[in-house]
Amino acid sequence: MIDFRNEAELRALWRDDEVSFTPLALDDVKRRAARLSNVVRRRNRREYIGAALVLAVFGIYAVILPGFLLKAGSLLTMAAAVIVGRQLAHRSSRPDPDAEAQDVRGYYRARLVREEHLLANVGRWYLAPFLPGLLLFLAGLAEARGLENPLAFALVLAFQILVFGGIWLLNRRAAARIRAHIERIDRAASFKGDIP
Amino acid sequence: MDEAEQDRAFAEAIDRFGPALARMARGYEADPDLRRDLEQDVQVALWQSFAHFDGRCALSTWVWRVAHNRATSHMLAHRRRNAPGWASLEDIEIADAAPSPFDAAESGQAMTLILSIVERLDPPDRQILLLYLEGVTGAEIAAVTGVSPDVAAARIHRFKTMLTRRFAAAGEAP
Repeated sequence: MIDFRNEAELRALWRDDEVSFTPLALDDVKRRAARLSNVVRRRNRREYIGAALVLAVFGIYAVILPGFLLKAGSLLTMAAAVIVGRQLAHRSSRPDPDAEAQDVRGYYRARLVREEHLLANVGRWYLAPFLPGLLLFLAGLAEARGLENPLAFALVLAFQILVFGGIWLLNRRAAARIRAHIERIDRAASFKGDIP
Repeated sequence: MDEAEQDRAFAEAIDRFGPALARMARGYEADPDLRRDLEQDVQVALWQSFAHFDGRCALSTWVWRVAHNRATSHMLAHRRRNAPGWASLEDIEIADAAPSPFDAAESGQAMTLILSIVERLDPPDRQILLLYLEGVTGAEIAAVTGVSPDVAAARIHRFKTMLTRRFAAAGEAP
């Protein structure tokens, strides 16, 4: 029978349980560490390729589409893709050996805070840069077609609002959940209710 | 620290803490394959971290911080699979009978009960308990986790009370 109040017995139980540890060879550790920085590089490359695609498509639009509004909208969308690509590369989290040596509560809290800011401010760093280009582009479309089909235009507009609004709302809700979690761990850090 | 010193510090850390790191990984990941990945990630994180180790804290404090922080990143990366049950210790009912009944407190069942509580906890509480179970002193638990020794002691006391009462409750169950 285990006596859980007996510290030595409880710890012996934990330490005696059969768990095998397989140490990696040092060369393997170094190879994996190099691969990890390649993963970050590959992820950045994917983000840059995505931004390059947007740049290519809207670059072609800027050249071939008629009218000032469509051209300006395309150029602004290209600028937005560059801004958002840079923000993504800058803000996304990656393993940081320096940060990992800080106390674990501080590390965890800092990770949550960074994630909360990323989600809570998605309107500012992700959606807002695309808005001017999108609005000009839509206005250009309306002008080019002379609003011959107002219903179709309204549907296109509504769809854009829905997508932007949806992204904003979902991210704000996720940020609120993380805020509640941060409050909980802050409360827990000062909770002394059961001191023996 | 140059690379030769980094390699030496890493070898010493693995030598001293290898099995303890495996036990820590068990407290973070139930899936054996993912747990092996986590153990390997922790080793990589430790080797990388020793490039910056300047002796500002004890080797053990450094190892525990890096290991638990990498394990926390693992938890966050897999949170869609794991997160629904996370809670802090004071939010878990002491007499909660979940997840399984026991007739007697045999060691295998006791370990299952310990892990069933640990795997429901938020990272900060989980870290305190895993360090405690590993035999780390109260002062070092405070240094590793960043909470005061009083808070750590309160957590540990609650954990032990929870274990004792759950076993008692399970033993009384028909």
